[in-house]
Amino acid sequence: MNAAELHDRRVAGLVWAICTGVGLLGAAAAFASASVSALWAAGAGLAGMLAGGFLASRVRRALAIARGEAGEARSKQLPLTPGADSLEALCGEVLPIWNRQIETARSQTETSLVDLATCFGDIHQRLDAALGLYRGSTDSLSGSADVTLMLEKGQNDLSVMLSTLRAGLQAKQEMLHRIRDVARFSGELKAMAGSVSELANQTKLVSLNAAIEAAWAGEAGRGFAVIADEVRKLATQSGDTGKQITSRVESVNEAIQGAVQIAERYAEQDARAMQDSEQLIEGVLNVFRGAVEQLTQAATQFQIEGQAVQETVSGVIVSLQFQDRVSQILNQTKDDMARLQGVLHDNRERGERGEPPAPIDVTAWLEDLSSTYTTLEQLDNHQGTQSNAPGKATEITFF
Amino acid sequence: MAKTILIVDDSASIRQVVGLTLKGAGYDVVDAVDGKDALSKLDGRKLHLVISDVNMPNMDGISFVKEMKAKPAYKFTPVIMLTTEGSEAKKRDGQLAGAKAWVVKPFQPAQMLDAVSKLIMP
Repeated sequence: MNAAELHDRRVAGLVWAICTGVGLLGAAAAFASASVSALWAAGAGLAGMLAGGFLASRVRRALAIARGEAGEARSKQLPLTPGADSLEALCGEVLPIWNRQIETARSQTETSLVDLATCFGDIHQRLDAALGLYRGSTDSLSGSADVTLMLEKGQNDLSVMLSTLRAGLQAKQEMLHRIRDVARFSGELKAMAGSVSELANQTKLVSLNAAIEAAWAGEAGRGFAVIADEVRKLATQSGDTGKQITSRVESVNEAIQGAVQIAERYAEQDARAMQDSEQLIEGVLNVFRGAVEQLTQAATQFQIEGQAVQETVSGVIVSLQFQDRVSQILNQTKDDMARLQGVLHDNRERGERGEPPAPIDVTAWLEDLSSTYTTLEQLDNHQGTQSNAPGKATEITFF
Repeated sequence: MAKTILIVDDSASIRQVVGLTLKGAGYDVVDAVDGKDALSKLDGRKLHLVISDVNMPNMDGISFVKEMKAKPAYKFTPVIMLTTEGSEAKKRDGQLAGAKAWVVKPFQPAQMLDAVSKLIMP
């Protein structure tokens, strides 16, 4: 490797280091700005390194062309001049390239962030709309006084229905008691019918004795014998009637007993049905209550999660704004490089006219550079002090 | 009827996030890329508030606010300056130009909306 090649390698290395530095500077600024920009920061650093490698190879080639070692110049033949002249020539070539690279990186970042902001805006609006709809539906269906009232009303209506059924059941029980009373009366009737039969038998016996006494009396007792016979006939008829009454009373009693048994069976069934209905209604209400409670919890959880997502999106909106700061830093660096390029161009023209290069007041240059800063980070970088990246709290001054 | 706010910023991403924040709160938004563009949008339409950047090409925010305030129709339109600049000298310039508030980027959406609701014209 000859001295010229060694020189080219050093210059190319310098170009690579500067580009990587610019990339890492942007990366550091972005990373310091917000955690969400870490990926961008890494990307910016990597882009700087890649751009540096690319530019370094281009610079080496440009230098080779300038020396005439690569044959014809590709776009512009550079004079092979030693020392400061070759550095000027180099800067005249690479500064516009760096400028364009920075602008490309800046505009691509801005375009991507605008797309990102649009996406997050869409997410934000859709979430707002979904939360609004959900809130509206749950307010009318669950988790609010409406549903509680609906449950209470349902429970009250069902209680009224159960009370009506219970009253009906009680009326049946009273009817059963009445029927049992009637059954008891039928027993008394049977006893009374038995008494009638017994009286008829006694009367029949008395009439028989009267007929015997009338026979003893002879002709004088003939009328009395007729009466005694009539009394006997009546007694016989009364006895038959008594037996019929007893028979009917027994039939009625059997019918009443049958009715009582049926009524008692129905009463037991009604009581069981009543109990089952109460349990069923309570079960249904419990299931409904549980479903509403779950729905309410789900609605509450959905709202909490939705709120959390909205806050996250708000955080993203804050982070996206750091692109503007990065863009300003890059723009300002770009402008200063263009300024340097202008000075080099002027000096080259002066050289062509045989005039000495205009002196550069480095202090004034740095002061001018400092006056164009708009962010505290730029000032910190200029002074080499600790980075003073802005916080996420909004600084508002009202006049 | 929704109130209209003019956003003036050369950064598309800032116009996007400010617009997103304001539209989400129910405001109508008109935007401009710099002071000159913003002046062309002052065509007699009713603006309830202006949010403007400071450092912009063609015409900076301070110059824009001064020219806007010189127009009778917009003399009383409240202005919020939204910028990365935080120096007291710049803030004074903004105040003298007629701004009502100075917000340093980045802003929290909720706090920006709070400032807007305090200053916006009825």
